[in-house]
Amino acid sequence: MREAGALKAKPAFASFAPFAHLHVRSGFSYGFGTATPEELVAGASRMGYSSLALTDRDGMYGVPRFLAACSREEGGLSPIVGAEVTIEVTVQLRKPCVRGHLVLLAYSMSGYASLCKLITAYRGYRGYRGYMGAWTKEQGGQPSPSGRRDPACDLRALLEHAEDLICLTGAVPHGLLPRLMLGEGTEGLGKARYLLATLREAFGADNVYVELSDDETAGSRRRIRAVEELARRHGVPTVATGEVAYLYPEDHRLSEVLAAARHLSPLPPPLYRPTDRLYLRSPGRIARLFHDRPEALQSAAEIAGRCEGAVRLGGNSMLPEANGYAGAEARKRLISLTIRGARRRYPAAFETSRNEAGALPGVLPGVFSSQAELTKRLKRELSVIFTLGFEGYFLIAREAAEIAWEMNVPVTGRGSAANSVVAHALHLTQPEPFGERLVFERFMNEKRSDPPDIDLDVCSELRDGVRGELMRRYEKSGVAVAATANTLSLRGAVRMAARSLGYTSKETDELARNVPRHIRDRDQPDGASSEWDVALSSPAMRGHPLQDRRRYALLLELATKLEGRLSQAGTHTGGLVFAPKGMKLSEVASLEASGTRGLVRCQFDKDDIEGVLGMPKLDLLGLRTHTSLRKAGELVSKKLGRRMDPLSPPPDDRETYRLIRSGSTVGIFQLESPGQQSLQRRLGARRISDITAGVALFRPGPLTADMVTPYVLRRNGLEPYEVPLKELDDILRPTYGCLIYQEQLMSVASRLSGITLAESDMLRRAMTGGGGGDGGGAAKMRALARRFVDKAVGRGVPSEKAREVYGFLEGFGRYGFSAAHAASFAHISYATAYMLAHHPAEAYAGVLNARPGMYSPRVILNEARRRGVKILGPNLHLSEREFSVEGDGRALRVGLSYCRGLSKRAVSDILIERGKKPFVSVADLCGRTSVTTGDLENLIGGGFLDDLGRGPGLGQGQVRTRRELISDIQALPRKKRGSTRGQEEIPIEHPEGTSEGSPEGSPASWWALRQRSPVRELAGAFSAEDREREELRVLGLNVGSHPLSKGRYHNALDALGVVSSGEILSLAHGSRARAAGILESLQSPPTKSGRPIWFLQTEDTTGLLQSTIFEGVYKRHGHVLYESGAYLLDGRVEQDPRRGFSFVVEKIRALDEALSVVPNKVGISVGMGA
Amino acid sequence: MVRVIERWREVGGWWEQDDNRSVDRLVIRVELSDGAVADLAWAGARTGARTATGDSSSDNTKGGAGDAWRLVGLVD
Repeated sequence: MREAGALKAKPAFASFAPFAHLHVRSGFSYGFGTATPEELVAGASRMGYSSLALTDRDGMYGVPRFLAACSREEGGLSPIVGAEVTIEVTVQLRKPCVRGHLVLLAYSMSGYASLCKLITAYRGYRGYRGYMGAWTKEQGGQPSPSGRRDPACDLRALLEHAEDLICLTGAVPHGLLPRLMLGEGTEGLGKARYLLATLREAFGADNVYVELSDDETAGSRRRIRAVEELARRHGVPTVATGEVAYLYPEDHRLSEVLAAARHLSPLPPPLYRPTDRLYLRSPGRIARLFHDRPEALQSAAEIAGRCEGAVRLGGNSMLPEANGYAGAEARKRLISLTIRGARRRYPAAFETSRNEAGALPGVLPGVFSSQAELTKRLKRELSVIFTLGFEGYFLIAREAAEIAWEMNVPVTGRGSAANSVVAHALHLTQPEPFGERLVFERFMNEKRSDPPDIDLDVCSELRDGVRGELMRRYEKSGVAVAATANTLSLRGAVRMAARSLGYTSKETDELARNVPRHIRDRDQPDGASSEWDVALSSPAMRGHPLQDRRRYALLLELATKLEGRLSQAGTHTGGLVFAPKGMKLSEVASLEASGTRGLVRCQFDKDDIEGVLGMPKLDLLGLRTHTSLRKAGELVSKKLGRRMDPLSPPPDDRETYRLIRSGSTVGIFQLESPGQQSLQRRLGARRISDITAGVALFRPGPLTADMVTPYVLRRNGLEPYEVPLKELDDILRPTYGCLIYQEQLMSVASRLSGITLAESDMLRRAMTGGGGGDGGGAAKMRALARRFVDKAVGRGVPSEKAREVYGFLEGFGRYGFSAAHAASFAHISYATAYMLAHHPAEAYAGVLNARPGMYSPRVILNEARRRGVKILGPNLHLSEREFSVEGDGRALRVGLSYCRGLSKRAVSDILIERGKKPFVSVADLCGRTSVTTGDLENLIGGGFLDDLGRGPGLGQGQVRTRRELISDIQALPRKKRGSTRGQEEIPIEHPEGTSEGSPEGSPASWWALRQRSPVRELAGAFSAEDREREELRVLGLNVGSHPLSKGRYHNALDALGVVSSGEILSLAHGSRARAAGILESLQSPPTKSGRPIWFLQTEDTTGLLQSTIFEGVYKRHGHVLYESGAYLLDGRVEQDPRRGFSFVVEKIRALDEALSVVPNKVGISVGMGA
Repeated sequence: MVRVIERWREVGGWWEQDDNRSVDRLVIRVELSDGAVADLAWAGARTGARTATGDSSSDNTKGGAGDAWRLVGLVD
């Protein structure tokens, strides 16, 4: 690498080299660094540096990306790995500790391990006790939130991890040495001398340098001289550094905004320096600054020479080892488990009665033909697993699944692992690889450069328990969850900029409202000069305060520059990374407390762990569908009086396929989106492979390439097809000549050209631009094509045909989807559909309690009603914590947790106290539970307390109204939620867990409406309409009936000429129609043409209607979508035999407004205007 | 002027609503022949600093129109 670098033409100022920047922070120095490692590497390379250090504050987050960027840099840039470590020392007793940083650089892999262990020690690895009390064992061995935000290492811990590290004493003026000697008087100076002596003793005299850096602020030269003098007196060499926090001078603003945000203060941030000189200064600039200190420049070059290229990550030695099984023992264990599992999966293969040729008469058709075939496949897979050293990884995955089984937690596999018969035999994956024509080499092969991984879906509610037990078992060698490098969205950037500029919380909320998270390229019209031109011209931002661009010019500029910057480390809660064989994890990567009690996080990003380090991670992903199925299964088991496993439904159930074919798929995993509903209606699924195809086809790639239409037409016999060569018939016939799976591409390539399946996987990755660095340019693709055709011709395939097949592969290959992944999902889709077909009440209860999909509880409940399930109102004495099933499985009752604002503790209190004796009055409820007076208002409004209005204390026929119950509250002493623990409100979350109101791509939705609905005026009369409105506010549901269902609404809607969504679906092509509906979601997906398009989903009494809104209509009427929650839509019906149904909207009006002109009008109790 | 005692840059207060409160200048502290010590500032020092590399060989000498050394303080 260095030799190549020497050949590179350097700019003129490179003659000042070999100075190297040794103190460089990237954006991974969260809270003040602004540049990515890649930007710093590119910048340094442009300036002619041949090496560069990365020394982020208290972390190694960016190291993998930094190393990868250096290796990619043309001509090479030698990486130096280090970190800036915050140290806390006591100068005087009973006075606050002094904090400052030291820079540590690794000059060997041992030094790298020392650094990882040191950071792990003080960033909160379980069991470490901070010397200076940053956190204690009394706090559960975890740092406090402030300890996590501003970590600091004590000197003793530092000295214990000094092996093979070079120590710089910190930049002037905030480094540890300058802080001690410049700001702490005589005692500080004494401590500084002690520090220098101690560091030299621990790190070695040759490894300690006094750092000189010039931020060019007032007094900087004087401070440098003072520090230099101390170094001279103690005989410690000095080193010049640049102290980098950003790439360009103008980025100092961003750095300061990030610092202010980190400290939750307006500008200026604490320890503010009025400078823009912390940028990556050129060799010439540095040489001029230190022209009178050549020895300091020389030291920098010497240190760079010692450290550059010393740290290299990755390699095959990074694979984990299962507890108790090392080397040959692990292999034996895996073989044993595989054979045992195969006996259960393939019992026929192990029967003794088979014919002489080894054929198995009892085996299912299409599975495999002989025991020999199964044995051969298992041997081949195990051979590859052992060659690549993955036996430990498989055993750990199996152990995770076993823990789940022991805890009765649903678990299934997903992803390419389902290509493996071994994984299937270990019961990690569901699809049967022979029958589904799955190809092991798609999962793993000897030529694959990045590690394959096994993804397990686990019930989302119980996932943490499984993960916790697995982590406990591997705690000794080290296990952690992966980090994610979070970046700022545009909306987040507006928030950050507004707060730093001193706007109040309320003003900040107002400024960030409806700001898009990101401006996509496809939204950027030619005339728009900035992303704000695009954002502010959107109907969603009509009347927005940011339209005053002159007033908010600085905020807009800052937000634009902040967007996309690294903001904080997140946690990939499911991605587990284990210690490589014979090592501790903390020697390979730095670990830290994640913020979740007991959960240790690796500082490296999840993608870097696999891509750069080559460490496979085990994903334990929380899947709400499993939670939904588990809950439904429990209810069904209770009803049937025997255990029912919802993940093992009877195969090929006709009712299940009939439900899927009907397109009424709300609540079915992966098949419930409007597009999938339409696809399933056209596809006509009759077997599991149809569902698999549906899952694979409904992806952005195949949709934009319009691969769906030919598949549907051929599937239904409306379009003839033939495979390019008869040799490929068995591969392509199952998908009607379409190439939709990556495994098909590999099989075709291998069959035709004779290349191995491992080589065909490389071809697939080249065609799809997949990972592993195999993606290539046009030249590489041409070479691949030539090789493919030559080989095929060599095997007797006509050249023209070979070219045709290659073109076929290339055309479809990029959109291919893993059949294994699609099949894994299809099995879950089938299971959820089976539950909905046969046990609708229990299945809908599961969906309402787990909320796994894209629809709001309101729509799910209405869907249940449409399918004949009776909806029972909330009841203080009958409602369970969640939705429950009554009436022999024919009715659903609303759960207490749906009451807005009610805490978990209050729900528990109600359930316990009502078991002792029923509540007789509002005062009784208030007195015996932790329910607050505010909760009481919601409980009454939601209808939970209607029973108390008919209580035993009242006379015959006497009923107290909700209004009278509310008046009872006035007589009670005001009771607010205290600070008692366990009072958290039960959140009605958006499925994606977004905290900023509306979900991505859906600026207006049920979720947003519920967040924004106004507080009710208690004095209002409780008319039927008020009751409905109030129930919606409290529960987010329409319990009694659909809002558009009553006669008076129908009259009004009829007067407007509204057609129901059910009728619109069957109107002829070209018909004009008017629809009315309540907002469910608004999305803007990518399109083939690149032109923006919006899909509005509304619901009326008959069901959901998806409408299409083109750009012109959106610009004219789109603002209504953000100002109201129920609409009147004028449009035309399009019925295309190829593409199916669509309703193209031409005009949008707010429904309330439209109804206001109708005699005897009524209001719709939904929407922001409600 | 006898000698330049010290030189530094000041960049700050850019977030202030009032432009007069933001600072962006090069400052030199000089000893004058009568023994007085004065701070002189060159406003507009950033002009030359906004280059592609973030560096400028002349970022302390170039200025915008109307820029000049100004007396900004006297040191006791």
